[in-house]
Amino acid sequence: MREPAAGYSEEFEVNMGPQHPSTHGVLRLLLRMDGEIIKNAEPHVGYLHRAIEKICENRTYPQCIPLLDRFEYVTSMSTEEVFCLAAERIAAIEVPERAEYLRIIMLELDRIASHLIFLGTFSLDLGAITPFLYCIRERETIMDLFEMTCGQRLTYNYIRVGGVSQDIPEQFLPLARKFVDTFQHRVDDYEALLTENPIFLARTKNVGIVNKQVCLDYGASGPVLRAAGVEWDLRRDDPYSIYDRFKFEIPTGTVGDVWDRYMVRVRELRQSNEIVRQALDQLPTGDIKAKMKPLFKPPVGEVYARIENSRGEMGCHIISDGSTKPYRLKLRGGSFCHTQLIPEVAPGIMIADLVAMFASLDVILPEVDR
Amino acid sequence: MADSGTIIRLLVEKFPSQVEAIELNPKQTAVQIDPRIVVAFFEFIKTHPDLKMAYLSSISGVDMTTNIDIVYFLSSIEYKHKLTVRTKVNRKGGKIDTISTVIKGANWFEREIWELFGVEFLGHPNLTQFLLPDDWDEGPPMLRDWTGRNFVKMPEIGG
Repeated sequence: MREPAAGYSEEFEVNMGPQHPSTHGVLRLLLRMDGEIIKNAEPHVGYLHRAIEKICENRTYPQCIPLLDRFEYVTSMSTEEVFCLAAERIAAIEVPERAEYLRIIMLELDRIASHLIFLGTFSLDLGAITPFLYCIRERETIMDLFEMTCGQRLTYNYIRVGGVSQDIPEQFLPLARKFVDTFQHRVDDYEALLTENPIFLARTKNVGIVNKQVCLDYGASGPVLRAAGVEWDLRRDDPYSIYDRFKFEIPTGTVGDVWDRYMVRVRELRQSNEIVRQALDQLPTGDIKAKMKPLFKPPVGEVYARIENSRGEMGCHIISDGSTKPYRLKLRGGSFCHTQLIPEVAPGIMIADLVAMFASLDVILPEVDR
Repeated sequence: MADSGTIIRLLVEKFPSQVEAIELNPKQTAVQIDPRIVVAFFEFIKTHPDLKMAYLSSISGVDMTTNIDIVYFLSSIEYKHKLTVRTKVNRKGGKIDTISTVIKGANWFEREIWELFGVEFLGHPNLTQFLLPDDWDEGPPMLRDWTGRNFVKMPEIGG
């Protein structure tokens, strides 16, 4: 933290956003500045509020899924998974083996795609353009895999209550295997560009620290929490689906600065890649959807399901009144809590560092506004 | 890690007449609490050495048509156990103490419930316009009987 020179400064307000290249969506930050140093930052959200929760109360369960894809469009697979997980728990549906494996493959590929978007835009925000091109190149293969499976490249509508919508096509497995084999070397390439780069280190080391205490106070989760040194991953600590069958490590950082958050995500790329490899090796044959009545009508009940997505804990609270529509659907995303902690950590840093810090939180705004 | 029975026993011992266990589903330990004790309750589960539930996943508001339920989801990062806490407030002019003084992360969740359900959180530092437009004047939209902005109820399918 830097103290302003005495006697020469006057505080003023800067409006950052809502349309700003580094706010990743539409976030407005009202900054109170003293020279270049931030005194106070106040996030204003709601520009992307689409009342998803209200609309879902008025739609049947299958109709909710494509809408929920818009809740967190960078990793749509995870929004589908958390909703279906909650619905399956209420209705006590057993998902067939093969469907579980397909879901894991898709979820982890989606995590890789999301972290690649993070890596690309984060380095763009810091002024490095090449990593973005590399990241998008690899993400393209994942998009191709999704497209050949469900016809969509962004909002998939693939995971359904009780299973998945369709089986993978023939050409999926060879392409996925090729991707898994080459991807680890691609991560080496990204690291060669960034990890030890002196300019990158100057922009990220000991910058924008979100320490352990702030994380715990504000309910931060995912890479942000792990970068602060807390080993907490719902895939291991509150297991769902079949994650207990795979071997993977949970990378953590030490101080919780921008570099730690970057490093945690890069190491997660490798771990997700390993999970996809294991899932491809173990993929069984069989049904892809549980036997269900055509009209999905869960019994009266209430459930809160949560999963670990690329941004942290994603939760879905469903209350069913026994009809074909959810009585209440509440969504929780990691970004909500991560945006909330900005006023706590922003004071004392400079605008350029705020951009780096905000990019490293990997917030996407539709998840905050819903 | 404390199991479901231990958690409930600890809570009922501390707040004998204000806390009772409820059944939601086998994976969730849940209690119903008196809305007047929220602050003391969350202080207790956050600081008790066997509970340490300081991680707030989410707070939901639910319009049950007779009243509004506030549902808190907590877990402990140290022990990996979790707890669902339910409480009721009045539907019209409902008031409840804020827990953002105990768990800072509750701030925005409560602000959202204030805006979408009209529940007032006493002692909340920042109950101001949040998700809805600045000029919103149609009342809390998440109430079940809300109609406005051309809201059309979809017909029931399959009966």
